[in-house]
Amino acid sequence: MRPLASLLLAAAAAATLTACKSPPGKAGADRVLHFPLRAKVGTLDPVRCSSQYRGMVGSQIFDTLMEFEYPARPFELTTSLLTGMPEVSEDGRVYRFELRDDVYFQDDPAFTSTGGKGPKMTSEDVFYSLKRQCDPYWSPEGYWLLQGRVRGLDEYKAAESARKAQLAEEGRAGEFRWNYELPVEGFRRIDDRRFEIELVEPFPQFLYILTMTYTAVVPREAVEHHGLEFGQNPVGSGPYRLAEFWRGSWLRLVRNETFREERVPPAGELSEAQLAVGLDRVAGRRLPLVDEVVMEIYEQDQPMWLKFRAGDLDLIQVPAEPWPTIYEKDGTLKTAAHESGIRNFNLPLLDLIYWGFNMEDPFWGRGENAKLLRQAISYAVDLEQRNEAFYNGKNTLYLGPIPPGLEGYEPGFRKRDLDKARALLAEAGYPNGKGLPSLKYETSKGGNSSEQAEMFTRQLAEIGIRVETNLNTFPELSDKMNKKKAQFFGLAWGADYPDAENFLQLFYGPNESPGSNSFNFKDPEYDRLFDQAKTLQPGPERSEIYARLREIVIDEQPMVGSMARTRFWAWRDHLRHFKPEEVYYTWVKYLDLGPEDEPAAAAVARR
Amino acid sequence: MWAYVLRRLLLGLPTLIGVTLITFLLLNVFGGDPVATQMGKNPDPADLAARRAEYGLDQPLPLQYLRYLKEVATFDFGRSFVTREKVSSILAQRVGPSLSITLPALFFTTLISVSIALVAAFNRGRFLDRFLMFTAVLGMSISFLVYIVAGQYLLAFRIGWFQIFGYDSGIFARWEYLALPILVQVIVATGYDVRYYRAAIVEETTRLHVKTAFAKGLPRHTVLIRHVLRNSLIPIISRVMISVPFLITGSLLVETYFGIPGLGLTVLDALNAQDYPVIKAITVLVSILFILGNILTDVLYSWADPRVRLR
Repeated sequence: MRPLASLLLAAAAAATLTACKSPPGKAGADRVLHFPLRAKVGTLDPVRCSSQYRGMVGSQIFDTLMEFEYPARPFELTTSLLTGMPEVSEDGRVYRFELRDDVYFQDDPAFTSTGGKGPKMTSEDVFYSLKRQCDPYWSPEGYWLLQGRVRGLDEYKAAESARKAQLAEEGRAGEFRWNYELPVEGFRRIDDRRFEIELVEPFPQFLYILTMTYTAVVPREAVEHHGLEFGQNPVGSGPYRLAEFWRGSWLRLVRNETFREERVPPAGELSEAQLAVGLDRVAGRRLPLVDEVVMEIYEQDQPMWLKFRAGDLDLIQVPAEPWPTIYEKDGTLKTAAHESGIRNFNLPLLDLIYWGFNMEDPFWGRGENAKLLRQAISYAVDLEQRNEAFYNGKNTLYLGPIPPGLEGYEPGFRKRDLDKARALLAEAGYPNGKGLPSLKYETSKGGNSSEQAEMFTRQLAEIGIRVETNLNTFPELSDKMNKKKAQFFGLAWGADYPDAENFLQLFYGPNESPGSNSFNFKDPEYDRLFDQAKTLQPGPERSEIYARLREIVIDEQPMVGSMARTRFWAWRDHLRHFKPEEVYYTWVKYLDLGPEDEPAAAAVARR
Repeated sequence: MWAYVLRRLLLGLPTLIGVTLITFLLLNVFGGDPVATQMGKNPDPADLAARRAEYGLDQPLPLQYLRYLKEVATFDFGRSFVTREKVSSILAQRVGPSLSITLPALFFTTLISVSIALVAAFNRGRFLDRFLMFTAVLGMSISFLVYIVAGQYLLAFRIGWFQIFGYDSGIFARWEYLALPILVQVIVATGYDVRYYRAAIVEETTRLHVKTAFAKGLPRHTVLIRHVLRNSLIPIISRVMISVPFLITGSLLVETYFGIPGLGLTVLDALNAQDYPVIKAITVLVSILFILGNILTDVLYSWADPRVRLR
């Protein structure tokens, strides 16, 4: 063959091969789901899946012991890796689990002993995965969820940390390896598939924690093989496995052929919510339904929106700017958008957008009349204006720390009342803000933070309070809060699990900075009630305590707010069975692609 | 020449040390604590202390600086604070996508700009010259972002000539995604370059040897190529070579809006997350390229103009 011809052939072959690696083309044109992510996912190690987007990807690759029933709301727990719901001891402290018999880890070259074949999951894998949250080598971000909960886990961590410190003192730091063989009192293996976890005290939210990607089960052999780069080479037992990962651009997940035998419930067993999303058309079919999921990362709204409009993305969280192009003012989809094949669901999020005070600040936190000043500010801010200007008026405004959708939520919010704000200011000894030092407001850079800060400054100026804004990178802001140096700050908290406890713990004294209580709010009565509530099962007694905790926060005013966002999800009409949810992302395995009028039999027959 | 190169390399060392010193002061002395945000919501103070110790942040500042110098000397910057990947792996993965945009963009920008500048210079004062200069000024007056947004909307979304967004790892398949970002980059840079090159070429056209060449009756294109362009090479080389260090750092806006996983995005992410090892590695890399670029520029000067002697 002539050199030129062979060169051309080689080039053509290479082009064909490499073209296969591209993010596949038009949405709906193949068996590939095109899913946008709005932030980067640097690592996929489950112990570090703290961000929403890491969770979105991690939930596809890894499995947790428990998951939420899709698409039920109110949330309902169901089993994932287990044969049935765990048995709970009478005192609510001991949980007995039994793993399914058909759970295998994804095949990976790390499994040298089996020639790359993924081994069966065992009880030891569960303990190993939870113990990893203790080992700082992996930079775990979810230990706080287990801290003080599992019997012996804190002691285990403390013992290993002490051994490490001891070795470092002796100049033998290099010899230290975290000992995963060291037993934890609360982890009891019965056999390869059955085990118990004992808690220090009853903690009804424990099963919620077992739905979180932090607690996903990973194979020790693969983790140790990939080491710190396990986050780039994740191996789990979830419905998809990672096939390609271009950090900052896109990643491709392909069907895990060894995924456990999980099916859409048979026709007679489907819940109303499942029937409502059309799961009856695929009743009994094996999960996951689509072959591949391509997740592209869009940090800018315009390209993501254009790709959705062009039909290159199957679903999208509609950004604020193009929002009016497809939505009416009241949040309903415009007829033209519906006719063009767009479908939508407006999802109320379980979140808390607020401004917070550092209660250890000598003036605004502990100062004489500080409470009156904080209350004055809460009456001076105009949440409605903020909502209209920055969120298309679609956030839910509320008062206190418990967002709508959770036990303890009370409708209604604090309307702006400048007369009351001025009166409180005068009562505090600063009529019209005279003699009042300026409020130092710390917020993060990016998005419309500076515009929001400008509005806040203008609103407070109306009662004579001066605001000095500092725009920080997120690490700078975290650093200031961890060191209790932020006098006043703007933040948001999204639910880790659907229980008000997750929001109320933000004000629990022992969680002060660098913990999640960035307010450094300490109120003996609050702490006592919180301690009392945290062991209670849902019921009137707990609801009463939650209501009292909420009242204390509203009265003491360590925070000003509140708002919960509404997420506007839109998708193309060929995407089937979709009802968005942001507390969990295990729903991807239920999604399918196919024409709306496709007969059910054809959908089941396909694949 | 080699003695000259060696001397210049040695002279580059103090520059490099100066850069490391400034970077170190900005990050390790005036920067915040990079550890706290990497350890979850309720970090254990003992874990934070252990992590600071692992990164050497608990050491006295002079020792921290020496450690940094050692990293520079071995070009081993360890692992990213954020993703825990090796910095060398991050750079290796990201350089390719950045160069895939910046190299072709530089090549086409230079080619087009020099060609337009030649045409403009030889029609100095005429309508064509004024039209070209007006277009160049117009082109450079419009924001980069406008080109990106308009390009994505009109050329990609409406007309469908290009991909709107994305990247492909395949050597050939990637061009489908890179064409529009390169085009935008070329359009933006051409305006600036045309004005610069035209000024250099106009100056050359007024020289006596050019007038003599015309007087001798040499064809216009011969004068253009052999007598004008050749002698205008020095400013062209200067302009091109100054871009060399930035070829690897890519373009932040282009990479963000087109989803190209290049080093521009990496730099921004590293700055936002206080990912010191990545920031330090890229700073040192760019400094080294600056030094090498300067040396190469001098060598090219002597090639372009035999009167330039390297001493």
